Amino acid sequence: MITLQLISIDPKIKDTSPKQAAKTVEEVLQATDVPLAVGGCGDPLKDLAVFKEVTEMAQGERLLISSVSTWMDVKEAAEAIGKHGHVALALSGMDLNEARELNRMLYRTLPREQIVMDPSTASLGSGLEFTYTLMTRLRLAAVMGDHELQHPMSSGVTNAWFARESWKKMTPEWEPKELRGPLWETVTALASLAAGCDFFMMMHPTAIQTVKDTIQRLTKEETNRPDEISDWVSLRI
Amino acid sequence: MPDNEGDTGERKTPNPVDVYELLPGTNCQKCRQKNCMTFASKLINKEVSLEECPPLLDKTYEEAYRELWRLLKPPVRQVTIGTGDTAVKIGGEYVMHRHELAYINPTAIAIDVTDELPHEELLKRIKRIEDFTYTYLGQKLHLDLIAIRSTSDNPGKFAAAVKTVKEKTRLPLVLCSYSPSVLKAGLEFIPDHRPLLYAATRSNWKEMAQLALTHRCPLAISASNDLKLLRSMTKTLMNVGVTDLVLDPGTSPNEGFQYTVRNFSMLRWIACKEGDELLGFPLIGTPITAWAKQERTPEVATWQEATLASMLITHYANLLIMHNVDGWALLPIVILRQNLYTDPRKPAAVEPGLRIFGEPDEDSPVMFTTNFSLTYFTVSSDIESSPISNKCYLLVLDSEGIGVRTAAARATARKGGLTAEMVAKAIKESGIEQKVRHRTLIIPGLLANLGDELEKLTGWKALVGPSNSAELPKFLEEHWYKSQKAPN
Repeated sequence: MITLQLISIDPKIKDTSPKQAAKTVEEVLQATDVPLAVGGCGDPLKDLAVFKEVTEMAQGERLLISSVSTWMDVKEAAEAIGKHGHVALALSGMDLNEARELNRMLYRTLPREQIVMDPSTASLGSGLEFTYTLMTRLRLAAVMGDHELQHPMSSGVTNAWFARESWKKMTPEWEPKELRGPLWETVTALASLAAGCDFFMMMHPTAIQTVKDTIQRLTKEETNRPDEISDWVSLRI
Repeated sequence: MPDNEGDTGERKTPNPVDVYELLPGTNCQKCRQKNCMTFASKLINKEVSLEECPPLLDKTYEEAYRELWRLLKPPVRQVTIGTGDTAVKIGGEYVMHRHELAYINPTAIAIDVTDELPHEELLKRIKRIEDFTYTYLGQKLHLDLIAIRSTSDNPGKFAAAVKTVKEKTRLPLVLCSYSPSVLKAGLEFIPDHRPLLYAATRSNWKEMAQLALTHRCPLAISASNDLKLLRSMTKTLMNVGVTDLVLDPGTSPNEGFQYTVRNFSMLRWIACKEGDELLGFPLIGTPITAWAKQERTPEVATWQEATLASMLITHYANLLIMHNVDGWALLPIVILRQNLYTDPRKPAAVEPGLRIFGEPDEDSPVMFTTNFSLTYFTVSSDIESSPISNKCYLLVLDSEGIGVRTAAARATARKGGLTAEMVAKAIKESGIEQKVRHRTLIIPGLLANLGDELEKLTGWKALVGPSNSAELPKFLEEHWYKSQKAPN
């Protein structure tokens, strides 16, 4: 999938209009065959206005609208998403009850199949443990039968790049950062994967490839016997 | 599934009443708790230990003490490798998931050397392992052990390598060979060091058990993808008196990795949820298997080794054996380990208030940040590791433990977060106005939009600082010190 972040709509950046934003989305839709996620700028009033315009323009495209939070008018956002056949990415602020509360608000308007949860992702080194443990709890609760939490989970893995160790030039023993950074994103993603995450918003191609390979390995149909594990004790490297 | 011998059945967390009933019940407060019931609850939360109750250590309570110990012991045995202050504890875990209590002993990382490395290279490698250190949130992160592998399968060569390593490092060791005579030769140089012996297998376990008993060493059991065999071997070894065991169910770097993940998960599940004592031992993961495909470039093998290590840390591994010593690959791993082994019960906030760095004067810069511990430690370590550390003030605001980024997002969304009123109040209460003669507050770049209101409320000038505190030194150099005095 492709995630299109409409950063230009930010009142603090370009403050482009909802109409212009919808046009950008339309152009991207025409240029690609893969499904599209459309992200706002984080200002709840502006995002809502843009989402209304975009959902209507892209009627039936089943976009993932990123994101709906309790900071905005959830009812209006859900109506726009529901009416035009899209999917809501329900963003909550690293709190299980907030996630549940948001889902409840969305249920009033949206069918369950049109809700994906995003409990917020903190980077490796910048609070990853909070995300990891919350996702684990959400997924365990869901599989134990808590039907208000039984939704696919998304992780904004790109947040990995907020941690300074992912991008900063460091002393030689920690270099090259061209490898350290993508690995940082990979490890952040693999932790979300281990916690039960289903959908990863990512940036670096190598990180994406590694996570894809890992998922494929873990979900591939089992063979009768595991492969032989080579003897590492006497291995000459 | 394993057969049903041994202590199995669903494992339940003991409840405070069960514990209380075994305690002396004198409410003597020698444990510095209010009463025995409080002590019992804290025992269950691992906030106190049995030994903190002096009456319980008396002969008359010997039986109760033993019963309590049995009731409260972790389902995963704690095993110590090495001796003295560099000894490493692995296992000792109570829960499968972090939120059920907390993880106890961080996954230990052993880096390999071999008995065929040329002397100079061996010394260089040992130094590199020892020197690896990274300061993160005020903590020093490092590597824990050295694993000596016998690639020669020659007792004399192995013994020589052990001797060299022992002379150069105090780190605890893992001695790796499937040949008991090779391990025996190495042990002669370190008879009392308690290295981990790797490994007992179906065919060599008798001799390995003998070595472990003679030298009182912990012993690893290797049985790749065979949990039944692992369990029957722990039983056999326990019966001959070897109790400090570590289990290696095998780490498959390739297609078989799903079996590895399942084996690790099943082993920990059986120990923690079903209380099977025969599988309640620390687990070894071996990301070093990523190096088995010789045609790979070192970068590719290192990359894969790091990703395997990260998956093993999230899947209950207590000890990892690795080959690369590259900072770019190991840094994410030691930080992941640190993150997941922090205690989720501890608050993620530090005390709000004024922090003073060095000996600031009345012209020194004043900055502010939030009291979310990650934010605070990041900012304070950036200050401490830079030339500005000798003179500045940092106002730590009570944001109820949320970070600047979240506080900013909430402010943008008009949902609380950090308000200008809060900052104004903190300025007044901190007494900073008596400490400096200027009235310029450096505000986090992410909170730039607080500036106008803040100036109106306080009469201070709001100088918008960088969004990332790593850039503070450069920022201050350009916007503060260049003018030699506060830009008022």
